Amino acid sequence: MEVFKDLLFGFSVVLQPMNLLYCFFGVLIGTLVGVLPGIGPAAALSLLLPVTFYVPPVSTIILLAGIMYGAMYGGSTTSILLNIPGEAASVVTCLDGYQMARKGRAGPALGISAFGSFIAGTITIFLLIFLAPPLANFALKFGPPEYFALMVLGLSIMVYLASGSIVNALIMVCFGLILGTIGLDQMTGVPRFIYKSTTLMDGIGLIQVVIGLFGVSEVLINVEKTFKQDIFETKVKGLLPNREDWRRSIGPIGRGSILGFFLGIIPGMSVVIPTFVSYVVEKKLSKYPEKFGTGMIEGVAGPEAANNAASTGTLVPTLSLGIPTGAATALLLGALMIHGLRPGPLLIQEAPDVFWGLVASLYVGNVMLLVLNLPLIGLWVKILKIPYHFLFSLILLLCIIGSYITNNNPYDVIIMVIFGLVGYLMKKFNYEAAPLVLALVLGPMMEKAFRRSLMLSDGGFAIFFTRPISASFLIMALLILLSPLFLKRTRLRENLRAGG
Amino acid sequence: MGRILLYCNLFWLLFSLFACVEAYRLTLGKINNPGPGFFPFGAGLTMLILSLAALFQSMARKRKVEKTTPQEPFRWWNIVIILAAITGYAFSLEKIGFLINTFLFICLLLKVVEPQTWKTAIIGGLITTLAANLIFNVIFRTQIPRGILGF
Repeated sequence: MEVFKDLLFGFSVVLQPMNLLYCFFGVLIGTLVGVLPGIGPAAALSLLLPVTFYVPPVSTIILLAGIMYGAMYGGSTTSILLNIPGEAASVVTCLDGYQMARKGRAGPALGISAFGSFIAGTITIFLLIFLAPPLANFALKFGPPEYFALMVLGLSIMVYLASGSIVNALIMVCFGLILGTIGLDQMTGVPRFIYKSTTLMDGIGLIQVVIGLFGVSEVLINVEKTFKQDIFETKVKGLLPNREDWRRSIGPIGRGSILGFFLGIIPGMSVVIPTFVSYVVEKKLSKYPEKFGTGMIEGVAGPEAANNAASTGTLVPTLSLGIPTGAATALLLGALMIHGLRPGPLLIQEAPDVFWGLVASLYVGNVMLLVLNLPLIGLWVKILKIPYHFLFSLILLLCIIGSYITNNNPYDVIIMVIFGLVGYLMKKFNYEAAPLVLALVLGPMMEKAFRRSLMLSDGGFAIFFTRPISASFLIMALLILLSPLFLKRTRLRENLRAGG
Repeated sequence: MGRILLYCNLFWLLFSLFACVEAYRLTLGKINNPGPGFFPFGAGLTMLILSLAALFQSMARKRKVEKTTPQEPFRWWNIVIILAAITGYAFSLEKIGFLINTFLFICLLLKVVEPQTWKTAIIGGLITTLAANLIFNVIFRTQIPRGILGF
C-alpha cells in the first residue's frame, strides 16, 4: 500500500497553511472564471502564470490546477440559473439544468451538479493515483517514434471532433505546427521565421496566443453588435436533492465519472467532449429519452460528473508522459518547467511533493468547492449582472497585463492583439481555435520526436510502423481521420461535433 | 459567404506557399539528419494540399441564394478602437506608466465603445486602476512600469 503512504504525504503537503490558501484562491478564481463567459480556464491560467514566478512550485501547481477544476463548478452554476454556459464544458448542462430551474427545481439541479462533481472528483482521484504511476513506468519504454505517434493521435482526435469542416481543422493544425517552429531551432540553434525580431527568438508565446484567441477575440465578437444581457430571475431554494433525485442520479454520476476520466486521458479530448458523450449515453440508457431537454436530472448529473472527472483525467498524460491534452494542461506543464521541473515519466520520482501534493489538492479543492460554492451561488449570479461594458474593459485589461508580465515586453502585447484579430476572424469564418492551440503546444515536441526518430532509423520512415506501440497509435489516428469517408455521419458524432 | 470562403482558402494557400518557400530556404537537411526547415516544410506542404482541396471545394460549391434577414448594425469601429487602444497601451506603458495608462484606457473604452456618461467613465476608470494596482503591484509585486508618477 505504498500508494496510500504517498497520498498521505500529499495531504501533508497540501494541508500546510500556505498551500491551503493557494488551493482556496485557485478554486475561487476558477469558479469566477467559469461563471464569466469569455474567459476560459486556459486564458485564466495564462493570466496568472506570470504571477506564479514568485511562488514555490508546489503552491503554483495547486493554484493552477484549482483554477482548472474550479471553472467546471462555476460554469454549471450559470448554465443552470441563467442558461449561460460560462465554460464550454457546461454547454450540455444548460439543456436540462436550465429547464429544471424554469420548473422551480434550480436548487436540486445545483445540488446534484455540486455533489456529482464532488463524487466524480473523489472517484477519479483514486483512478489517478492507481493509473498515473504505472503509466509513467510504462512510458519509460517510449522512444521518440512512440511519442510522435501518440501526439499525432491526439491531434487526429481533436481534428475529428472539431466543429465544422475537417479540412479546415487540419489547416488549423498545420498553421499551429508552423507557428510552433518560430524561434530558435531546438536541435541546431538556427533562427527560424523570426525576421530579426528578438521577441520571436524564443518562439511565439503560448500565453499570448491563448489570451488573444480566446479572451480578446470573444470581446471583439461581443462588441461588434449591441450586447444584450438577459438575466432570467430564478429563485434558488432547497439545494439538497431528494431521495428520488439521488436514485435517478447515482448511475449517471458513476458512469459520467468513469467515462469522463478515461476520455479525458486521451490528448485532444479536453473536458468538453466527455460531457457530450455522457449526455448521449444517459439519453440512450434512459427509459424516457424523449424527456431529455425538458429538465431530466440525469442530464445534469452525468455531464457534470463527466466534466469534473475529465479535468482530473487530463492530468494523467500531462503528469506521467509530459504530454499536455490541451491549452490548459500545456500551461500547467509550462509552470512546472518555469520552476525547473521536468514533466514526464520521471516527475513522480524527482518531485514527489509536487505530484502527490497536487493529487491531494484535487480532493481538498473539491471539498472547498462543495462547502463554499453552494452558499456563494447568489454572489456568482450578481457578478453576471455587472454591465458588460465594465466586464469587457476589465477582461481586456487583464489580457494586456497577462501578456505583458510574462517577459515585460510590449511586443508580447502586440502578438496578443494579432492573435485576438486572428481569433475574431476565425470565429467569423468558422475555423476552430482548439486544433491550432493543441498543434502549437505539441508542435515543438512533435518535431523533436520526429527528427530524432529519423536519425535513429537512419532516415527510414518504417520506424514508425515497425514498433508496435507507435504503429498502433498511427493506425488509430489514420482510422479516425479516414472514418468520415466510410461511415455515415452518426448522430453521436454530430452531437459531439456540434458541442466541440 | 461563398466568396468569403474562397478568399479564406486563397489566403491559406498563399500562406502555405510562403511557409514552404521560407522553410526551404532554411535548408531541409538529409532524410537521416533533417535540417531546421524539414518539419515546417512538411507542415507547409500538407497545408498547401489541404488548402488547394478546400479552394476547389469552395469553387465547385453551387452558389445558393441566401435569404437576407434584417441584421443589427455591424459596429466595426469598436473593433478598430479596441485594437488601437491596446496597441497604444502597450507602447506607452514604459513611458507613461501603469496607473495613468490604465486609467486612460478604461475611460476610453467606457466612453467610446459602449458610451457612458463622463462621470461613470471616470469613476469606473479610477476604481479599476486602483484595484488593478492593488492586485498586481501591491499583492503580487509584478514588475509593471511605474512611469512618470514613480509609484
